[in-house]
Amino acid sequence: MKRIGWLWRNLFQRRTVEHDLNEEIDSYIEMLAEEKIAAGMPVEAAWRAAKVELGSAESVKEAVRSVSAGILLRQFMQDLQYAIRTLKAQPGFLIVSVITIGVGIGINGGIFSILNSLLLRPVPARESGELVSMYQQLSGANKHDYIGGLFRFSAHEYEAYKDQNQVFTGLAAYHPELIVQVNEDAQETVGQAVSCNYFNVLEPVMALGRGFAKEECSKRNASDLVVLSNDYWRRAFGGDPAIVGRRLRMNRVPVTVIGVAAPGFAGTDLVPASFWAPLSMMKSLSGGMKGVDFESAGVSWLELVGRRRSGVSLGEIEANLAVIAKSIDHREPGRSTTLTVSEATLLGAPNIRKGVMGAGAGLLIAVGLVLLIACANLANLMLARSIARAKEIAMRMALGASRSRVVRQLVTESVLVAALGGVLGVAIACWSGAVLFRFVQGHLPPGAPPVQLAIHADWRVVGYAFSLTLLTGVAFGLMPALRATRPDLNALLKQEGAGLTTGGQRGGFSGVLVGGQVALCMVLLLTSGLMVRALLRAQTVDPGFTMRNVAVLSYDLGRAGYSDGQARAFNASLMERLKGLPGVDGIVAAVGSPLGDRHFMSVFRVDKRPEQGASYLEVSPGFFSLLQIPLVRGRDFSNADGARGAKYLIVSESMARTLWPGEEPLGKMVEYGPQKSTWEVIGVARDAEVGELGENNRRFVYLPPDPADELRMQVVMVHYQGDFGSLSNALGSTVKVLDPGLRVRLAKLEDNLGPYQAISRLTAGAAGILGFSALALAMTGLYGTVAYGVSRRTKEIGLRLALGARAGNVLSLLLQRAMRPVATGAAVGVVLCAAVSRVLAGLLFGVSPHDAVTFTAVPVLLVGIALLAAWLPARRAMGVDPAVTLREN
Amino acid sequence: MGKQQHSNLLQGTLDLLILKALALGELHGLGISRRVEQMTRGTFQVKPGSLFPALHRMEEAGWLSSRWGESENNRKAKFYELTKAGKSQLGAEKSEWDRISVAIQCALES
Repeated sequence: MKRIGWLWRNLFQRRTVEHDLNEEIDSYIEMLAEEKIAAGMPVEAAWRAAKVELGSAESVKEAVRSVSAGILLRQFMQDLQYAIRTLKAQPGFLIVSVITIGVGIGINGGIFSILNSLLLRPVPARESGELVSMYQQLSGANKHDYIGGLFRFSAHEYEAYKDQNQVFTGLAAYHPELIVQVNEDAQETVGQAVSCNYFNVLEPVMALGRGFAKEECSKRNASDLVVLSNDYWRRAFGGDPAIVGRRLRMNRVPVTVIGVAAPGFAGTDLVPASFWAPLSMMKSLSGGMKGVDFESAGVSWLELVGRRRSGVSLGEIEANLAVIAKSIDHREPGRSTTLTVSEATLLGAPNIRKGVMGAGAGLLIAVGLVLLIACANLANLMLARSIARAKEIAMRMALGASRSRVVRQLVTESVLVAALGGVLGVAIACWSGAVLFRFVQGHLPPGAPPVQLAIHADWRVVGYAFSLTLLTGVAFGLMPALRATRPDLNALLKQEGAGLTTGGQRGGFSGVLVGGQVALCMVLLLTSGLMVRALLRAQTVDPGFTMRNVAVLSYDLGRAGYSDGQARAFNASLMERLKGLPGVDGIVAAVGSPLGDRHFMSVFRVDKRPEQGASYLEVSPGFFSLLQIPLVRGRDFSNADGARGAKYLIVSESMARTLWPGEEPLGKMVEYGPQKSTWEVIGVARDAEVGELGENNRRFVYLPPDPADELRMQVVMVHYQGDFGSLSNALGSTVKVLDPGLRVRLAKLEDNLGPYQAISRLTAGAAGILGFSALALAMTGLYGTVAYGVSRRTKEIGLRLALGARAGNVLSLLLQRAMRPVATGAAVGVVLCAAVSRVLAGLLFGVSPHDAVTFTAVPVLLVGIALLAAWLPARRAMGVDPAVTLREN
Repeated sequence: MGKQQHSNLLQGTLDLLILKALALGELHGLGISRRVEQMTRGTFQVKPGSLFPALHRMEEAGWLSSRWGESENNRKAKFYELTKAGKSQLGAEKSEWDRISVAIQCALES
């Protein structure tokens, strides 16, 4: 195109273009003059007249320049050069700004890069853009067991979606939490049970051997085969090249290795898989879940991932799967399925996604607020600079530069500063994500899943940091630029420094900045205050049962290959032996411990009323007295009940109130369990936080152990006197006598608070760091504003003092002016935080989101520090010597 | 030049006048200015402040081409000439102007 040629000429052959233009205008004047001379005018007069007729040659040239191609770009280049010159002259300002922005953007970008790896980046697999994960949400379905999440599918549902869809080249299913003991390892190993087509769908490269073949996992001829991950193969078998064909024992079941995946593939879940076994091995490898019928339509335990046919959109997939969902719903009256289909990422489950997204968004907002506060400081600095440069700006505007042109020039300067900060920011973002993630992982409780996440910056992270940079530059540059180029600038200049009481215009604007900073700072500090309170509560909490002198012994006999009968014998003799230990004065077996890592949820129904969901725990007689949970009505289970096989249960007070408001719960009947059998209420226990700490929901049901499923009994709680150390030795050796190879865990009941404390330690720590950086920034801003105001008014203060004003009065006048925006900002911050703090409820462990202590202490603290920050520079004004200032005037 | 009768150039008319002025052959800036004056019997005088931006704009649009040459008095001067695109642009602007002037005429006579 011709235009491009002109653009090129105008931008890069500027000298020629300008030269031509000059010549053209000159020759115009010459010819004009000659014309006049020819008409008889004297030479001198002719030249003068010609020049007058032309007018200002410069403005003609400028008019030509302003219509030629690339004018905006050229002006931008000019602005850029000018900005570079200006900034070079002020290295201090430049360094402070670049570091502030760089750190702000870097941390923002780091947090974003974690979220990106979790939520946005496709799973590491071949052509991962084609992989689609699906989840379902059911209502009114006849399900009695969800293993590992409410969004999973049963084997029946999987078969239906796999066989009837027209949108996938293959749909694979997997269960990501298969935890086994390999050979005699002390450590447990996490693997996955997968459908036979798993390796055909995900197509990982194999380092050795092969994936599963179609016929290897049908029910009839299931064979016990496993594929190992590359990482595990190296770690556990030293990369043994002859591993294929070797026999291993998993949970004491013999299996054969048929392949090793190439490095980089460890499944599509956040917890990397060390091995993969066919779904048909689920029963033999799932330890305590041996009693579960994995083929049943009532058990949901599978996650699904499919590879879409080329050219099929997510919408089409959704539509096709919805038809299948409808046909499944049709077979079961009252059931309705909602499907969620999305590109496969490491975190797919909608509920966890929502949680992580919420937490991530909260964190990003908090860090963003700190960045905003920093921006306000820079805006203040820019404002001060532009006031100092007011003469220059006024001059440019007087010479005919339009306001938008001057604003553009000033914003170019701030965007340039931001861009330098952004470069630093991207560099920080590239590693801060990984550092942050490692820090968080390092502070998780020991029981946390061994999550592995490769965090690196990709185009999304860089794009995010880049847009943040641009936004920052405009945010802190635009407002001061608009202010500095106001049409009434001259009036403003005259007024500047006019007085303490007739507030300068600048005071108004920087007042808004300070107020805004204080408001944001207040929100962050209140949040961290609430988090600290939550931490204290998690440290000193009374969950409604005793945690002292209770030891928890846990083991999984299913994983150790026990049958039900063997388990019953083991449990009986273990209890017998434990009773005889010195210092032990109470023993109770159960399926899990209070606040432990095993959670049980089910639905309970009374009469024909809607089902009521509640947590439950299966406990042996003696549970309530051992943990000192008072039974407010009725009685505890007894061994005789168990022997008779009586179907009795005990409910919490909250549960009783929910099921039978205002009625006598004892003797009432409840329908529960896969067989929908009827259970009689024999007792009501005082509400306690047995399921989850800090939940408002205290509905809870206690059931006796299921005699048909002894393998579920995985916990023994022991109440003891004296020293935990010596007890644990005694307990350990007791178990050793019964089964030397059995893996047992021994801990204090208090240790169950660990995860809660870890969460609140982390959140309180993060909130505290953010809060205090915000405080430091905001107070620096306030200090700067007050100091600047004082320095501009030195003369006036001197005058007032000379005229007899008392120093105290002047000081309080200064402080009043400084504190007005602080008070407004503080009030706005408190209201803002009170309005949104409910979203934190889940992290507060029962501390009220409007906790009175926090909402009093933090504002007092903040306003106090603000007062100090304002007083320090204001006090300097009192050192003004009236004589000196007056003489200077 | 004495008393000047000046009319404000209608928006868009300047282009048409310049194109028309160049229809007979190449001219330099002052020449164009004089030709327009002559064509409009002194009604329109094109000032350098609007002439030069218009020439450069039209040159970048590809309607004009320019070269350095010698004026009648052997001065170095920049000469402008219609290009092929400029000629068709002249036709287009002419018929557009005819359409408008007929329309205005009709409006005034109704």
